[in-house]
Formats: sequence, C-alpha cells, structure tokens
Amino acid sequence: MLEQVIVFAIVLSFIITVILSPIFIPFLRRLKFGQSIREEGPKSHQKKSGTPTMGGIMILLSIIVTTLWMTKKFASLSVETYLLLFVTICYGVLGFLDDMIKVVMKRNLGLTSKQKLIGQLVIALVFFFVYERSGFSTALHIPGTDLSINLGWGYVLLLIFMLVGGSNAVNLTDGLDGLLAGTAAIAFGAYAVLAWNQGQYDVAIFCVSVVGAVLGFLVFNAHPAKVFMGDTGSLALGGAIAAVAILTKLEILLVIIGGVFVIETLSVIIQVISFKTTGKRVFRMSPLHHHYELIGWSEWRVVVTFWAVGLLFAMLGIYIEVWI
Amino acid sequence: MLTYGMVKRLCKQARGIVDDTISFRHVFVDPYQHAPKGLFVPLGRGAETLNIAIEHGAIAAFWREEEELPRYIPNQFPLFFVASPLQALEKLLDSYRQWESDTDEKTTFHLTISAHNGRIDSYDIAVLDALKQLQQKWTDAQGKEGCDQSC
Repeated sequence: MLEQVIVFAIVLSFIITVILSPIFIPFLRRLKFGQSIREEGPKSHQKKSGTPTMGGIMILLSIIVTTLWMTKKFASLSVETYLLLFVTICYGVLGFLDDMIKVVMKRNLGLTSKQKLIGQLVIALVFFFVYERSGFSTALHIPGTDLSINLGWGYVLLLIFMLVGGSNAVNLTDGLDGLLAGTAAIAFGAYAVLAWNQGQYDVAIFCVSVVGAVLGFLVFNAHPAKVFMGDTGSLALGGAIAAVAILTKLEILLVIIGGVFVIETLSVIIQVISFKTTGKRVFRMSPLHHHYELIGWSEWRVVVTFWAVGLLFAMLGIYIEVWI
Repeated sequence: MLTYGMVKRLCKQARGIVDDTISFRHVFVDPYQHAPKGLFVPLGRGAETLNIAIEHGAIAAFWREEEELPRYIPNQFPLFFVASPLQALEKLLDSYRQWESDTDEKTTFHLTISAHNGRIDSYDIAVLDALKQLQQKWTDAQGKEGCDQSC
C-alpha cells in the first residue's frame, strides 16, 4: 500500500502546479510588465522579452502542499520533512527577494552577490544546527564501498559548501526553456529511488513531490516558455537537492546525479578564470548550454541533449549505490 | 562629447557613413537602455540585440570582427569593427577620460545590463563579471573627479 504514495504524490503535485500556473502567470506578467507598458507604450519587442519570471512560486506551493499532505497521510511528519521544506522555502524566499527587486525596480541591482551569499550561508548554518541536534551522523560515506569517514566538525564545512554550491550550480543551469525543470525532475527522481531504497519514505515522498511539481511546471516552461521559474525556483531546487543528498547520506553521489549542474558550473569557472588571466574564452559563451546554442544547435536540441546526459548520470548514480 | 573621430581611432576598420561631426550622447551596453544618439556596445549576441538597441536610440555600434552582419543594418549605419567590444569599451573609457574637457557637454556611459530574462539577453558570465569591474573602475574614477550626471 505504501508504494501508492509515490503515484499519489507525483500526480497530486503535478496537478497542483498545472492548475496554479494559469492562475499565477497572468498575475506574474502584470507584476513584471504592468508599469513598463504604461510608461513606454506598447512596442514590438515587448512580446519578445515578455515572459514573466518567478514561476518558482507555483513549484514551491505545490511541493509544500503535496509533501505535507502525503507524508502526513502515508508516513509521519519527521524532522527530515521539516528540514527539507525549511531549506526549500528559505532558498525560495531568498530567490524571490532577488527576483522581486529585479522585476519591481527594473534594475539589475537585485540582491548584491554578497547579500545573496550571506543569505545562503545563514540558511545553511541553521540547517546544520537543526540537523546536528537531531542526532544525525557527521560521517561521509564513499559511494560503491563500505568506507565511511567521520568528518566531525569538518562536516559543517561540507554541508555549507553543498547547500551554497548546490543552489548556485542549479541556478546557473537555469538558462534555457525547460532545461532546469527537466534535469531537476531527473535528479530528484534518482534521489527518490535511492531514498526509498534506504527506507527513508519521508525523503522519498518529498523528492517525488518535487518531480511532480517541476514536471507540471514543464508544461508551461517547455519551449516556447510561457513562464520562467526565476531564482525563486532555481535556488529552492538547488538547496533542496543538496539537502536531500545530505539527509540520505549520499553526499558524494550528488556530483554524479547532479552531473549536469556540476558540468555547467565548471564551464563557468573555467571561462571566468581563462577570461581573466588570458583574456581568451574557452567556450563561446558560458554557462555551457549557451555555447552549444552559439555553435548552431537549436534550443530544443541543447535542452533534450542535456536531459539525456542528466538521465545517464542519474542511472549511473543509482547503479553505483544500489548494485556496486 | 564623444565623437565619431574619437571612436574611429580605437578600431581598425569601420563601415557606414564617415562623419567626424557625429557625437554620441550616450554609450550603452544594454540594448533596452533608452539612449538617444547612442553608441551601442554589443556584449552578447550582436545580431539579436543591435536592432533593439537601434529602437532605443543607437546611431552607431561596435561590432565583433568575426560576427556576421545581420541584413537589417542600414548601409549608412556606422559600425566600428573590433576584436572584442568589451576591450574596446575599456579603451574607450580610458581615452574618454583624457579627452574630456570641463566645458564640453558630457557623454553618459551606461555600464549595466538590466534583467529582461529573455533569450536575447543571455550574456557570458565571464563578460558580465568583467563589465562589473569596469563599471566599478569607472564610478571610482568619476567619484575622484567630482560627480556629474554620468555617475
């Protein structure tokens, strides 16, 4: 009977996002364009740049409702559930502030990168203290082996690095229609399998709720996108995937299951270093998805290829953990 | 004010009308920036942003040598070919500070790109990073010389 929750959760969160989106999209559109249309008058290009952002709100609402409802009904609300929701909501709120300032003030000011980083650090620290107090282990498991290293206080550094790095990496991947929604669905799907395999049903229900929510969002975010998730969605998903990796004690495996996010981030790091030191570019444009776009791939082709790569990484991750 | 001649000196090759009396009120990197009589510096996809920049007041632009010219550009529209528009902008800022005289009407430099969140406004993160430093350098220099309308 317990298995049914997986189906229920995925369908429920999918439906919630699909129902919420048509309600929220016109509202987000007004929020973004209401003023500027009045100020500048209608112009041809407004159609082109007219996709509203902050669609992450729909994803977040759907995740919260589904996770709480399904976990309460089929398992029990645990510290893990609250921790996962805490991280997701807090990173979502941080992203929302950033989006909101950009949209309302119409400037690239947003939050400064320093403010954003401080916000990310504070959330990660709160997560650590709750996590520590609930008596979780600070050991780091090496995937595919029986080895574990107890990091002790070093674990706090790893945890912060994962949450901050994860949310930023996922944030970078959000650049083409449907790219992040698809790759996130795959990565959370993989973690759902692994969490279920460990008997952590509460974590699995959360993961599945995310899968349903982003798949529902994909209906509106696939090319040509009617809405973008914005930092509201991407920071939340990034924080959430890192938190899931921590709670399932599969920290290192995140590098593989989130391989697409890692590659995107590396492309940016390489490009920035190369551009600063030699003045030359390694990629035509970073993050990597833009490079492929500029060498002539269609947006759709880039997105589908990245999904396929994400799927392969996810399968590899499950293989390493379950069969090796 | 910045003139055609000053910009021309910074590039190897130019295209379009040659007129040393053209002067630029604005220099801008964000195609959506309202910049009448502006010189546009394309830092992203030139072909997809120049038409938007023209709509917002560009009367000339830098152009990356390797990039193909879109058909919509009028024959007389002045383009300055450079290896890297970003480096050209940096040189331009340095030279402008030497040329600038107190009595002269000033050119405004807009060195930020606002978030429009569409396909055409995706920029290389490395470029945005460099632009930020350039802007910082520029505002610092402006601060030292006393603030005018350009800061």
